[in-house]
Amino acid sequence: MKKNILTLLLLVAISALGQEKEAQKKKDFFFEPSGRIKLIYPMQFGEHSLSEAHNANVGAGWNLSFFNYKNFRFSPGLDWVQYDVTDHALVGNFSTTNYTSANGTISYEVPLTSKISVLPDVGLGYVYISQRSSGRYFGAQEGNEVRAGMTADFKTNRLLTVFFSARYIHSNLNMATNEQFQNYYDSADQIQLALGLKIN
Amino acid sequence: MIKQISLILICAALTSCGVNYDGESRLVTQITVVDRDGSPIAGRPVDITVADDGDYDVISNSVTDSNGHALLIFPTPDFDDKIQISIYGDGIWQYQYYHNLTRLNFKDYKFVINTNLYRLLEITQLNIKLNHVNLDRHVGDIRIEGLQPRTNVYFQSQPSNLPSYPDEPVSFFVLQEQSITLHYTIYQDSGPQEYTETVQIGTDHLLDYTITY
Repeated sequence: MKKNILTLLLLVAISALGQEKEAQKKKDFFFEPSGRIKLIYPMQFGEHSLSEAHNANVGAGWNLSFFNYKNFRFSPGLDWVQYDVTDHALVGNFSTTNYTSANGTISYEVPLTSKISVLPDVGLGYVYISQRSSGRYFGAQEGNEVRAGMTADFKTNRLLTVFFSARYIHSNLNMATNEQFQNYYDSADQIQLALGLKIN
Repeated sequence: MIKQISLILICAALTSCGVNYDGESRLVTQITVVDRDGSPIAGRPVDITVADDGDYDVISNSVTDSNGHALLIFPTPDFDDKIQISIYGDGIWQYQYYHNLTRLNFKDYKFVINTNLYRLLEITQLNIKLNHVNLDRHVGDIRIEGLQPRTNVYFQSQPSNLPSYPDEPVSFFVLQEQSITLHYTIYQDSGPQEYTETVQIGTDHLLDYTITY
């Protein structure tokens, strides 16, 4: 009997929530929390140390979003990728470089079908790059980044959406060195691919 | 108890071993090595060591390319850390070490080495022997002018420029097939007198030259 009552209450709650969401979507601005977790792979390009003296590994990231305004969303997030140092003469005699980005993006959702949407986005971020080897710390570099890209959402059910994204990221990094090598260490360009799950 | 643990952790953090680096700064070392004829030497291992009170890191390493060039770029250590640049020798080539550099030696973050390395077969050990026949006379300030392989180059302090001790035999490494100038001073009751002689270096790996006084 208890089980039946609980099930009934749950169904009522879900139904009420669904009706509330439908009602909210008729408003311009409404509370619609969601989170994205993703695996990311950066493809660095150009003449800079992350591109030419490192190999990227698969990294991870997440984004959160709470509000929807006319299909616009602001999403703070965090990306983390570890790079293996491949040219110790150009970077230093340590094994890894960790790239962390704390960023915020604004996206606009364009529904293509009931299950598929695309979301172009632009964003800014704070970058922290640290160098390590066997627990030793070899200093850190800070900077900022601008990012622009596109995400494709494939809704699988009410709760989960699979997404794929590709975005261009340009990083400006603090660096003092010989003028001849300044650009090699103070900027980076990458195309970042991501595959993940969005939890509605 | 918590206070004691905190104190221990703070002390451990403050005295943590290892060289510290500035991750937002890079020092550049550009090395070019050529032989006696000016031809580039490929395949010479080079590295950079940073030392700080007993701790040290080999912070960068490379090998000279076909043009004799090696480029090493590494995070900048603290101001008082000592930097050593090593160009390694083997059974054919001499070594060359640059000692006691600091980040202040890097002008505009760059330190350039253009140097000659010599084959060991091109080097003669010149032993200056002393034939002390007159006990009222002493010899000192023995030095030479000529082509010498540089093996240890010191910055900040230069311990190698001290005059030789009186009546002490000395040795020099010199390149073969050249004339070198030998300078020395004879000390006697009438006052010091400087002497200059020319010594012909052939192709022997050991050469003794005797000063009689």
